Amino acid sequence: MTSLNNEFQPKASGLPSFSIQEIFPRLAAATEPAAGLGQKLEAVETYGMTQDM
Amino acid sequence: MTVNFNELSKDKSSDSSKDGLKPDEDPLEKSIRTGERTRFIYKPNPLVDRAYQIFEYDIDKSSYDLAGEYVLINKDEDPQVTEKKVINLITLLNKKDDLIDLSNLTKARMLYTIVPEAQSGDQTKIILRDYDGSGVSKDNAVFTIRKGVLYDKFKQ
Repeated sequence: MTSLNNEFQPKASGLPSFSIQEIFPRLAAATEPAAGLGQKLEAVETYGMTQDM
Repeated sequence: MTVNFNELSKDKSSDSSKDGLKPDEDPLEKSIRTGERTRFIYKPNPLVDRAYQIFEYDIDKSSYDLAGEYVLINKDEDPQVTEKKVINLITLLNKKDDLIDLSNLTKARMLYTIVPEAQSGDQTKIILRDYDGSGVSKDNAVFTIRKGVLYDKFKQ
């Protein structure tokens, strides 16, 4: 028996289905390190805040 | 013909992962076994180490056609992490949300760069990068897919 996925769509015949900006930030979010990126990144962010002020 | 339902049930419960893959079975083989036809599936590239081929189902031909590839550049990456990233990418392309949480397996933030159309030909090409918090980001992998699957919303 063939079961089709509910989200199945035939090969694109019209507009593309997804934007790059929709897919990749979500992919990146799933790989974001739980432990953070360490001291150096925090320093960069602090510097950025100082610059904004 | 006799169908042994006990055997069928046993067969289902032996699935080895949440994707329902049997040991040593790739998604293409699973789709043939189960009859399920999701739009995109992946398969390790038999010719290129640490690379995956991405196939798209063509409803007119009732077959999967090669639509893109994912080639790892950073060969130091854990192979399991690479495959899980590919699984997540395929999950998103199939409009599903059940992503694998890799936050405890990675030490770098994922960034991406869209290769300009003039350089990517008739494909959409994305370079994935790792940023570990120091220096500049490093290339992690190159993802290509046939033009028409993805679009850049800032160029509409």
